[in-house]
Amino acid sequence: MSEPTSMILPREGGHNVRAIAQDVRLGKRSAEDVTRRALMRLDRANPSLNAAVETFHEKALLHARRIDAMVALGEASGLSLAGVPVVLKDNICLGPSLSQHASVGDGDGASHTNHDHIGYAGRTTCASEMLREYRSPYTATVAQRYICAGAIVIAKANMDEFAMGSSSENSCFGATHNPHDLECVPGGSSGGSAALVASNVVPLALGSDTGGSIRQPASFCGLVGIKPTYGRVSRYGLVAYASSLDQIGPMATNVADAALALEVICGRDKFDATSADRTDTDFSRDLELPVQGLTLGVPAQARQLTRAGAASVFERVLETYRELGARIVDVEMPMLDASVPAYYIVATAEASSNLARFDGIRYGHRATLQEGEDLFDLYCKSRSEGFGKEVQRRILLGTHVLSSGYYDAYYNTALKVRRRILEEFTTVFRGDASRPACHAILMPTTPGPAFKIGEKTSDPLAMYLEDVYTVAVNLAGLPAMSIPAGAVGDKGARLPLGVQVIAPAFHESIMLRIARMLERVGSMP
Amino acid sequence: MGPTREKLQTVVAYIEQLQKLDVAGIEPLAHVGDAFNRLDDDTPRQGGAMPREQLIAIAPAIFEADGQVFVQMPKVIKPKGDGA
Repeated sequence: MSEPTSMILPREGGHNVRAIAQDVRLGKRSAEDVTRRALMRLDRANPSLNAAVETFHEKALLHARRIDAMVALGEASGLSLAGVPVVLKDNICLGPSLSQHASVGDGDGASHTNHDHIGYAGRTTCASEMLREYRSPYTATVAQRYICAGAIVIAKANMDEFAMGSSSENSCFGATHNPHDLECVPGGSSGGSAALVASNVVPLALGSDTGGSIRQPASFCGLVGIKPTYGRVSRYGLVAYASSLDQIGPMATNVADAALALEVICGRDKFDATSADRTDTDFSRDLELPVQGLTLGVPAQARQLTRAGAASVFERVLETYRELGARIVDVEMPMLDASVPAYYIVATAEASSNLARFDGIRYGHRATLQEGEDLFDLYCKSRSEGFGKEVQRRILLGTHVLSSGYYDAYYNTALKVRRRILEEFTTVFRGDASRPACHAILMPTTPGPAFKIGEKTSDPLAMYLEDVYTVAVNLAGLPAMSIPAGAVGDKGARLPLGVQVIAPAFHESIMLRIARMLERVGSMP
Repeated sequence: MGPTREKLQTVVAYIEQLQKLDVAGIEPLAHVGDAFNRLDDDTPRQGGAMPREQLIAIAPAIFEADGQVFVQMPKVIKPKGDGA
């Protein structure tokens, strides 16, 4: 018997977030049964995928039974994710209990009491030797919001170490495999989350996106992945990579599920001073509105796709939107060409500062000292042993671009480029004398489909260039999402490929609606 | 160090391309969230901070003294005659 080449389990009826939550709330399906089935699928798929780094068999079932008890008592009507099995990227803290000391955000504290005793007590490893045994004493706001909405966490997902990578190969637990082709990467850094949704183990996951880490794996795995506006979702409890770029977002199989999940996690949180207090958080309401009359901008760079099949997938997307009545206009965004170098300066600068906390003293890996070695040796050895190659590379690069004498040439220049990128986006969305205002921008998510495991590991620059379409959005703090746009490759080895919708800050609603219309056409016979 | 240095040099050479751009007079943008960054009132949080024992329990090395638990550090002060 030959080895399987893919690992996509048959999708059970009603395997989507809305259907599960509704059935569980109405008592048509029990959360326990839904969870049990998800755990069975996880056990079946994970040996091929290496996508879960920790599983919660007993705790998940315990939690599910509690949801069922709430249903029986009539207390579950407000649970929008009732009984929905989910996975969290392993840079999202899951503490021994829901934060007793922390209420979630402002004004939504009332429904927490029923969940107070749910504790997953898992590890939060960031796929790093540095945190291999780290158990967070507190729970991230997004995890708390998922759990309070009735979601059942069945696993923590593999990733690139500290979210640094575009393939999920930089993990102390080994590489994650793409469910569509096990020889390929699932993308990264949220590759484990993507693989577990794409293989139909769970209908929903959380990832984080600093330079494309949700959208790129979504593109490679055929999923919907949202990077929300900077500030839309609390980062409290997300292990920081680059704080001015990081955002947490949902990954799902369809637009409506992703919209619902975003509604659950968004909003002001008093534990994240950069979280925005917004009232425009009903992302489901306008989903089915047509795109007729909308103007969609396409930067010239979007048409520079060279890999086989990728250009025609993108052109077909543009054609579909034209047929739906949207107006496609070419836009000039020359600064996009500078986004990758600017991103790798800003991101590594912030990372070098954020990761300074891992010193082997208060938590994380501590090296064993030899006779005569001192505190400085402890720092050096602990960090050398605890961090993988790519993380060390980015810390070194970050300290270099911030160092005296180079600061202005690198870091400050990158920040100026960042301002120009934001201004270019603003101009496109606002319009000018020569061009109408665009409601959104369309771009490829990735230059091509998933590449082979090992193909780019020896060439960091080639790996960085995979992010060419995604990083500008993080620099500008805008919302963007990837949706399945087609497949490329030969028969039998076809790989999914996504397209990206980018919207003005806090305009997730129109972004989701534009995505939904493409999805609706694609799902028609 | 050989291959690591080589790879880093490739990346540094790549990011150097930014210096060819004309960005004179542009105000640097370090953070897009400034518009809604809010400061909290300077009042104690209800329920207090995270429990001390829980935080110390995750340290890689601890020791007890006088009924209290502390994070263990390696020797910081060097013996006499060693260096300055």
